[in-house]
Amino acid sequence: MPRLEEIQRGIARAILIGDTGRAASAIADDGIDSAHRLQVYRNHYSITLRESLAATYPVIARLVGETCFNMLAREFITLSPPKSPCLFEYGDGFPLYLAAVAILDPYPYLPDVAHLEWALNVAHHAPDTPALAGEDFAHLQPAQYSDMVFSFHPACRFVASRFPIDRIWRANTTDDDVTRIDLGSGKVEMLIQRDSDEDAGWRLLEPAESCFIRRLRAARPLAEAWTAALQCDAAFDGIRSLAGLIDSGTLIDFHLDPTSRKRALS
Amino acid sequence: MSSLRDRLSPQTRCGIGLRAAHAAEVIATHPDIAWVEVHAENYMGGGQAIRQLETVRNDYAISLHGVGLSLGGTGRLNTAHMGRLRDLVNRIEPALVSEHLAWSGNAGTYLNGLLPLPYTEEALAVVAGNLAVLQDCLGRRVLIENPSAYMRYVESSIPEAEFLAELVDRTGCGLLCDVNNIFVSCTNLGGNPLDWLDALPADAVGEIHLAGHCANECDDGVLLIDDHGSPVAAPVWALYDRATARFSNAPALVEWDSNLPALEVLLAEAQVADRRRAARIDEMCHAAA
Repeated sequence: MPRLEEIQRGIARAILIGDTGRAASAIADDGIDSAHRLQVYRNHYSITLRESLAATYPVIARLVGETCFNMLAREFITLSPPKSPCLFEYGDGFPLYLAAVAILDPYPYLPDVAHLEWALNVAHHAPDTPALAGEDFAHLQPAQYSDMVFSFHPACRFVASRFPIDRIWRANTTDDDVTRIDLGSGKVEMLIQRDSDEDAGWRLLEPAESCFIRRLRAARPLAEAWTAALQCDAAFDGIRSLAGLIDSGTLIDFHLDPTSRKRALS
Repeated sequence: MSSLRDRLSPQTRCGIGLRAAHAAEVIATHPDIAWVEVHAENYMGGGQAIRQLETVRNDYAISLHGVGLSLGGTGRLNTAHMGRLRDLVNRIEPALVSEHLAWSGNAGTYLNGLLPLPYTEEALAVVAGNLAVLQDCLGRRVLIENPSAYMRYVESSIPEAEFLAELVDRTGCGLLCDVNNIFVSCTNLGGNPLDWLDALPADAVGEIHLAGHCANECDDGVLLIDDHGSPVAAPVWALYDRATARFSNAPALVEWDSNLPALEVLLAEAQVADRRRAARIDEMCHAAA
C-alpha cells in the first residue's frame, strides 16, 4: 500500500472509532502526546456532526432531551459516517437507527417523527426542478391520459404513521402550551413538499387521495391509481387531486406506460 | 480614520464570510460590505439557500470556498462532487474560487474536517494531480488555503510554505493565505510565523483570511484550536499587517463560524482590517517619500 494511503487509513481509524494505534506512529510527539493531538480531530468530527444532526432533527432532540440525544448521536455517527461533503445530506439513516435502539422501545412514535424531519430536510434542500405545465401534455390524445406515469419533484416526500406525528411535530416546534396528545388519536398520511415561498411543509391526505398519490409515486399509470382511489372512496375527486398536484409543482414529468400500450395493441 | 479606509480600492477592502444566519439580514438591510465568501457545500442543493445566494450575488461580489473536495485524499477524486462545484460556479460566477491543502476522507467516507497532509513528494504529486483536474474542470484558477494543524507527521520533509510554492509552480494555482492558520500551526507545531509568511510566493497570493482561535489546555501543554469563534487575536493582526504589505493586491476576509455574533460585529472586524491595511499603505508611502 502506498505510504500516504496507509497514513490516511490510520488517521481515519483514529477519528472514526478512536483507535489511535496505527496513526500515532506517523505523528511527531513534539511535547504533546499524539493521542491528544488526534483527539482534537476526533472531537471536531463528532461535535460538528452532532450539531448537524441536531439541526436536521430538532424535534427528536427536544423530545429525548440533550443528554440522550448526544448519546444517540455519538453512536449513530460511529455507525454511519457521512458519505457526502454536503452536511445537509447527512443523517438519512437516523430514523431507522432510532427504530433499532432498544431503550427507545417505549416511544414507538420517535422513528416516525424522525422520518418526518428527514422528509422536511429533503424538501428544504432538494434540487430545483421545473414543474410539469399544462402545455407539456397538450399534444396527448384524451385516450392516452390513462397511461400517464408521472415523475415527482425531488422535494416531494410521502410519510405515513400510525401516530399523530403532525401534532407531535407542531407541539415541539412552537412555544405554545403543549396540550396532551393522545397517541391513539389516529394515523396520518402526509405529503411533504416545498410551497411557493420555498418553505418545506406538508398537507394531510385523506385515505383515497393517499392511495392515489402512493400509486402514482410507485410509477403506476394514472388510470390504475385513479381506480384504486375510487375503490377506497367512491366520492374521490381525481380531477381535483391531479390539478392540485400540477398546480403545486409536485409533478415534473411524465411518460406513457409502455405495458398499457402493448395491451391496447394486442 | 474613515477617510484613510476609503482610500482603499474596492478590490482590496475586507469582506466577510457570509453564514446562513446572516443572509436574510444582508438581503434586507443591504449593508456596506466589500464582498462575501460562502462555503460552496452549503449551496449544492436547491430551494431557499441557493435563491438567497443568487439574491446576494446581485449586490455583492461572491467568493466560493470549497471545504469538501479532499484534494489530498488518496484514491479517486470525488468527481461527482467536483461536478456539483462546477455547476455552482457556473450558476454564481464567483469572483474567486478556493479550496484547501488538506484531505477529508477516503474509501467513500467523509471525515468532515480539513485534515493535514504529510509534506512528502508523494503527497505533492497527489494534490498537484487533483488540483490540475479541478482547475481544468472549472476552467479557472483556484486558490489553495494553508491549513491549521494540531499535529505534524514524522515523514514530512518539505516545509509547508515551500510545498504550497511547489503547487503553484506545478499547477498554476493561486494561494489563499490564512494568517490565523499560520499562527495556530506555528504555535502548535513550532515555527516562526513571519518566516513562514515570507516564504510564500507573493505573486500567487490572491486572498487573505482572518479569524479567531481558542486555546485548548491539556495535561502536557496547550493546543490552539482554529474554531473561528472569537475576534482576531493581536498576534494574528500583526501577521496580517505583514501580509498586506507583501500581498498588496490580495483582499482580506473575516471568517466567523462558531459563537456567530451579530452581523455588525463581523462588519466592525472587517473595518478594523481595512483601517490597518490603509494605515500600512500610508506608512509605506511615507517611507518611500
